[in-house]
Amino acid sequence: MMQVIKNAIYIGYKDMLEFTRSKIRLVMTIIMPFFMMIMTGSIYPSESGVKNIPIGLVVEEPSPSSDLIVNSINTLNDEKSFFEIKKFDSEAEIESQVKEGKIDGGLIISKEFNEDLMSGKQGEVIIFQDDTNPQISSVLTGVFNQIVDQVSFSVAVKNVSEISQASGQENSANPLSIVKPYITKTKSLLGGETNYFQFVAPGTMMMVVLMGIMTGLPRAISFERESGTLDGLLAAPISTMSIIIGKTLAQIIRGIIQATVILLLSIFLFGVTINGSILLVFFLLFIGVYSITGLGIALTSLAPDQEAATMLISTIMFPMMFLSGIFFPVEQMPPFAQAISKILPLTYSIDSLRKVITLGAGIGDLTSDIIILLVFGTVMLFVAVPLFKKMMTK
Amino acid sequence: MSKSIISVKNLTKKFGDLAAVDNISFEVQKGEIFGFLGPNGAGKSTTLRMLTTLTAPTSGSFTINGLNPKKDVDQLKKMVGLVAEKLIMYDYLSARENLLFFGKLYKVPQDILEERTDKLLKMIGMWEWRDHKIGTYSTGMKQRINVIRALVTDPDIIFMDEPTLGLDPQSTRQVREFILELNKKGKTIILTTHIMQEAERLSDRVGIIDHGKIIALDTPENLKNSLADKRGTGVEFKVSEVPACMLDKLAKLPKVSVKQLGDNRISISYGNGTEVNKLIDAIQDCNVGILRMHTSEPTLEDVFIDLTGREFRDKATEKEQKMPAAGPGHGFRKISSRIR
Ligand SMILES: Nc1ncnc2c1ncn2[C@@H]1O[C@H](COP(=O)(O)OP(=O)(O)OP(=O)(O)O)[C@@H](O)[C@H]1O
Ligand SMILES: [Mg+2]
Repeated sequence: MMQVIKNAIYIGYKDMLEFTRSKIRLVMTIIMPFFMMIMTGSIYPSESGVKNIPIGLVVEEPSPSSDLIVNSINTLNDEKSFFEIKKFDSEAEIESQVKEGKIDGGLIISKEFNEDLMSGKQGEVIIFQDDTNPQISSVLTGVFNQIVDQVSFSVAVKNVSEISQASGQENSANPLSIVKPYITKTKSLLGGETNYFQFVAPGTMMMVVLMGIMTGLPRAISFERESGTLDGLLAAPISTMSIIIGKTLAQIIRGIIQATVILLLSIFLFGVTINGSILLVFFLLFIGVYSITGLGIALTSLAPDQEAATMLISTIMFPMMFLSGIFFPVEQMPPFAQAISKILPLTYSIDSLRKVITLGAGIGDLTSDIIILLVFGTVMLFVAVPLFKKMMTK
Repeated sequence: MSKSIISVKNLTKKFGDLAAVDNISFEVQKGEIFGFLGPNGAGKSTTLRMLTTLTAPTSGSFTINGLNPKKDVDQLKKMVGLVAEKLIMYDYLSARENLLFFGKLYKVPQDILEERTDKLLKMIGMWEWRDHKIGTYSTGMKQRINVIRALVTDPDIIFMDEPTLGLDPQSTRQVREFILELNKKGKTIILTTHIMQEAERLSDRVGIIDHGKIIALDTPENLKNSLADKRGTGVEFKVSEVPACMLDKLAKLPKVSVKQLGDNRISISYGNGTEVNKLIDAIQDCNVGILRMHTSEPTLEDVFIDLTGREFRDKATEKEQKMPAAGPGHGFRKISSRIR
């Protein structure tokens, strides 16, 4: 057993040595995680990222009520400059502007709004959204709704207190409690604003490490097989396990280096806070790698050559990455996708990593995740090693 | 030449329907150079791959120094060195790093390993290049490292698959001399080649392999002699003239046949036991001067042609093509065509 590990270390060291001799590979090792992080981090525009979005505003018939809404928008905008407001005369104009891509949405205060208010009905403000850009639309809708809510709320409070004063009741109830008897207050495990990077950083770390393993392993094995050097290893009096462990070791080390780059970028560039233990983070990366290595080796062994191996693995990798909740929470997926995600090891490694980084979970909170990963990894290795041995003595 | 160190029984390797190696049996004696000679695709590499445990045989068995590859694989692997057809070395590492890496896998103690590595690098003339990356080497330099890579573990038995493939005449000679030197030090060497001359010069015994079968196995001398027995030996004369008298006299000699080649040249083939001076007498009797003469022994190629009834050619493509003859080997085709 000791000898197996020792030989594995020689092989791993040899692989690392080869790796460090190639400058391009070294540079890419550092740059790749950087790009990854920026890319995944910008899939969702966070609210703070929303700036100067061109929108259209239509006020068909100015009135004190419509002024109130317009003023609120202006006040908010002066403060945060969310929008670049353009004035138009009709809904049709907004529609064509959105179609041309000149504006990303609009707010329409129609004639009916005033008429309805006068006749004691609710006034309706129309939010126009661009269906081709769901992310901006959802941010816009959110902001508009909030503004209209706010305005209608303060109007209601004013109305209620006027009514209660008119009815001559002193010491009446707080108007706020009449207008909005229930309110919510958001509390989370973390104080403060959630940062999308905080959500994607753990997933990106895991993804980069696993992508490194899943593409690096077939490259490392198939390349040696095709160039003939694998024969040198196979002819040597060493165990097949030494080859597998050694190759994997080299890939893990490379992956951990990349994960560290992401970790540092996340902390210093993207403001991610690591709430749990860093040691536990690395431990989980390791377990995550263990869980997937068997799969990588099995696929490599099934493929006749390097190119086929790479194709096979990327075909499986991409759905796996999306279904395991790196970019979108698993809970938002359709039921069948959720079912698939439950059998992917990546889901559990990302979940556990996220718990540690974001929630500061300890190892005790992760036992079930860790057990699932270990079991999956072990089962896959039991499948993979015989396949690998067979492939080698073909 | 008494103790057999490798013993092969009914070894077969099939790739689908193709029997790349077809039920071969042979013994290799301790301390000999055993040459496998055969055209492309004959099954030489496949045989070597099975003997070095890189490929599992479809059926049959072998032992090396009494060790069974199924039971004592690690011990067996330690005994053998492999100079493979595809070079076994990492381009991004230096020669020295490559050698040390493989030595470690064989558990050679570090100090011995370093000493041996350095000695081998000097012996093969690569000492100056020891710290350069393999990627910067020429084919010949790589092949030299490929050869000594098999030796850092100091194996008793060395398998060499076409050790001079792609080398220029000078490097070829160097590698061949190196092989002979190793053999003098007591190493048993099994090499494959498709170059007749190489098999002939290096091997104590030659196994001629074709379509996965060993069709002849003996010393090069015996192989050629047996053909000479059958066909006769050839001699070619360039003479001052070719009178009928001379042709008559020659033709009357027992076991002798004569062929006129034009330009005052004649080719004579004579059976075993013929006294060569009788030929010369016959020529002199007619007052003909001998301007030039040379004898042509049968070559291993003639042996191959005799055994298979076809040219030594690329089985895989079945094209009539001449083997790429390395260096001084150019002559043998000409000679062989003359004696037939
Ligand atoms: N991995 C393989 N899969 C299928 N067929 C193979 C494989 N390896 C070898 N063969 C076939 O087995 C036969 C013998 O091949 P082998 O490499 O042993 O020949 P060789 O005598 O070494 O030839 P060469 O002089 O060209 O090296 C060939 O017909 C080859 O096509
Ligand atoms: Mg070959």
